[in-house]
Amino acid sequence: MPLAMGSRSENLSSVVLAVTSLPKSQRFLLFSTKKADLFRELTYFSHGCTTLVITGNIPPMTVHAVQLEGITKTFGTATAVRNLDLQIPSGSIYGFIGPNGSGKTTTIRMILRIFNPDCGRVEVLGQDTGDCADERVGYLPEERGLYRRMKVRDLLRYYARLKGFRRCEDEITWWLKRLGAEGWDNRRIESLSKGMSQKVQFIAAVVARPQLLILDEPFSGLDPVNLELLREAIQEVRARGTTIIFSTHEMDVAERMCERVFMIHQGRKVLDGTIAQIQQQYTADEVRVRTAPGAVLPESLPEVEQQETRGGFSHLKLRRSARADQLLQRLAQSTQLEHFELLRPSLHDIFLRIAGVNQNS
Amino acid sequence: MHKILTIAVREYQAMVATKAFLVAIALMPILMLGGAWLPGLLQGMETPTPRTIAVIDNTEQLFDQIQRAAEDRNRTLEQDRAVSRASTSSAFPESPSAAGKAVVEDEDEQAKRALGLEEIHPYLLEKVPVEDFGDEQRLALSERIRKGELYAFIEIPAEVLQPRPLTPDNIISPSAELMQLAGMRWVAQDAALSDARRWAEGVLNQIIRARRLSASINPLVLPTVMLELDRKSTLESAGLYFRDEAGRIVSEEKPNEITSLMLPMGIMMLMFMVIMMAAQPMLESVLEEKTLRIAEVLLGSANSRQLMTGKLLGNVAGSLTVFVLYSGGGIAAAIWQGYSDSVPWHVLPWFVVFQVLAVMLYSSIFMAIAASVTQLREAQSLLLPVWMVVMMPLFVWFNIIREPNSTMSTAISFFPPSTPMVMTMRMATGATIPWWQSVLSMALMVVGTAVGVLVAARIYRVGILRQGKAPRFTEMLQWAFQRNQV
Repeated sequence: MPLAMGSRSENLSSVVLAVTSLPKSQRFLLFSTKKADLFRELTYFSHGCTTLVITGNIPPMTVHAVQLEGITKTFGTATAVRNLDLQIPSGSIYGFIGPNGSGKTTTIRMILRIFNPDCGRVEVLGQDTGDCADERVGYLPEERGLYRRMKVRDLLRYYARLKGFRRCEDEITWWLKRLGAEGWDNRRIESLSKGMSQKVQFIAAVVARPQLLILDEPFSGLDPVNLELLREAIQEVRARGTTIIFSTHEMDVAERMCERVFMIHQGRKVLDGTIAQIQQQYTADEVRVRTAPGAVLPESLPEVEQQETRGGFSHLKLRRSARADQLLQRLAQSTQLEHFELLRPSLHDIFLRIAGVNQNS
Repeated sequence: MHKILTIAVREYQAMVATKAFLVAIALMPILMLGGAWLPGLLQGMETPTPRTIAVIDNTEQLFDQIQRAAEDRNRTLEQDRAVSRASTSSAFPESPSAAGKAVVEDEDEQAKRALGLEEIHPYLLEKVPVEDFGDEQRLALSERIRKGELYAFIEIPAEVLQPRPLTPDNIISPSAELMQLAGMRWVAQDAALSDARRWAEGVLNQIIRARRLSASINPLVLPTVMLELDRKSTLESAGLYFRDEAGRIVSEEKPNEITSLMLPMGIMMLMFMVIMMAAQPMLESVLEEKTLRIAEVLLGSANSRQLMTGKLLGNVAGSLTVFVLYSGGGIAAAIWQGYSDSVPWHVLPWFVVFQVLAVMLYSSIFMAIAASVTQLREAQSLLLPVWMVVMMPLFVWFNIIREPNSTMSTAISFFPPSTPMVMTMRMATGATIPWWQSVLSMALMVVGTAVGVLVAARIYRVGILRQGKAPRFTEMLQWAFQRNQV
């Protein structure tokens, strides 16, 4: 949906939306004195439309939703994050991966402005100051984060209002319905199962229509059906234009959901890029082969470190210095091949390789 | 600001709109009144059983009179029971027996009677022959007491009636030895403070006094002398005189003795309860936010200053609700019972301001402690010193009520953590508190609260996101004063 910015005036505090794909009678006129409210209305109305013409004092869309420049954070003698640079493009789903205690949570807390970095600059949605997160930022923490005694709707209303979003009733109803949680309004959090409260937690994070959404392990405790439901919901939020930071331990989830991935280990950035870029950086170290019927693989191959059979294929793990094309040549000479495939390392393998190597060293 | 208000509203609802709060609101006065009236109620359920007291009267002159006194007492008891059965609905049973009492009651007995704690068992006396009375007989009587046949036995030595000549010299400053008569003995299984022993002591002294006087006084004037000995004048406490608007010179109103005791104590207890009912939920609320990682979500929307301010505001509002309910109930009850003069209107505004400050001080300390730990158990050891400070006035309240303007009372009321309880209590005694003391104590309290809240806020800020083992007190103070916090 192309967004056309009309004339911007610093003095105006209202915005006029003209939805050209709609008949004249259904065009919207929006008034608001607050930027955050405007953005909510905009993303809300713009969803599903083809063209919008906007006038008013809309803050410019930043290219990067989050920009970290040389940030370092120490606690006592321990350095949690060391000289970190990171740019998260607006509208992307960005994966944060890394083992426990690697500095992920500290980085997220600095983006949320719960912590101030010792040095460096944190810019979130165009703002580089503030002592608490912008109202345009939504956050789902790793575990729980809900008052046990409160009723579902009261709790969601409370979290929405804390983000300055006061007319939130319709949004709450919409989300409860969307996640199959109708009729939960008056249930107390303590009566919900882990998966159910995880859904409520998710709604709490998105109910104020954030522009930047930070999800820390959003799928923990969900069965496959609900996991799929939530995955779709995240894609929908993203389709509204929300930038999503997605922190997880599960590499296959990150691989499936994220366009770009950032990995932090011992406070340092060790990976940053698209999944494809990262996979290119890390050469394949495994090949999958199948010999023609009757033919067998040679017992020992100088390029191969380890060999095992899985699902009718032989998986050959290459030695560190070995080259796959040499192996192919050797195999072609010694046996009759039917299938030879270079396996790209999964994010999981790369993760293990980095974390494992560092731990060994 | 809207964030602070949003947080405050939720905090208020979480504190007030819970069953636990409503139950506490309803139960607290019942418990406190129950504490006062329950012993009386329980005693009311007891059925009177005669208690036999054996008397070894070595003077061989006193027994009949003791017997008569016991019979008088038993008769009065029976009449009282008849009357109180007829009017059980009265909360303050007015005993009609007062006039019939031979022995003048002291204040303690009056209070006991008002609370329904009076001894209700009739006494039967048994005369023990004095010939050959010795240790064997003492043992036998003790055995009977053990078996429950006998309640006690009294040994009256013959010497109690022995004359002690007085001369013009030793009358003016009699020696202690001259004042002391030969001792009697009460042998029983009950407590040293038992009512029966006190009754016997009073009656015996009355009789012995009359006997001894009759040796030197004309028997015709003896009854008059005895009566005069029992007569007393009261020394009523009155306020200072001043000239009112109409130009008349009048005395300031002074509360009577019961209100000057109960009212200040009630005011202090109310302050204590309000502090407790506000600070305890705060401890639980912060601990829940910390352990369930709600704090993380909240800190993603508001900074720790806004969070703490909002929570404190909601908490103060909750505590004011407690105050309005209790004081409103108390005042309504006082007016209904016809004690509207006793309502300490002049104390109420001070109370509200002191209460707000006290709740802010203690709630923020409780918040800081809850933020520093991960379990209630850990919080409790850190709270011990805080509780001691909160409860300090409870240990000295009686001294303060008796001497509201003593150096100790004044000093304690200038110590900010105790100021709210002690100062309002002093004001409620009806004593004239110099105005500068009220103002100074308030100023000190404001400063103390500000310092307390600031230090607590800094500890809260560091503690709330910290996991792991509970810090020591000194570590928490270090957090408060470290420069780069988070």
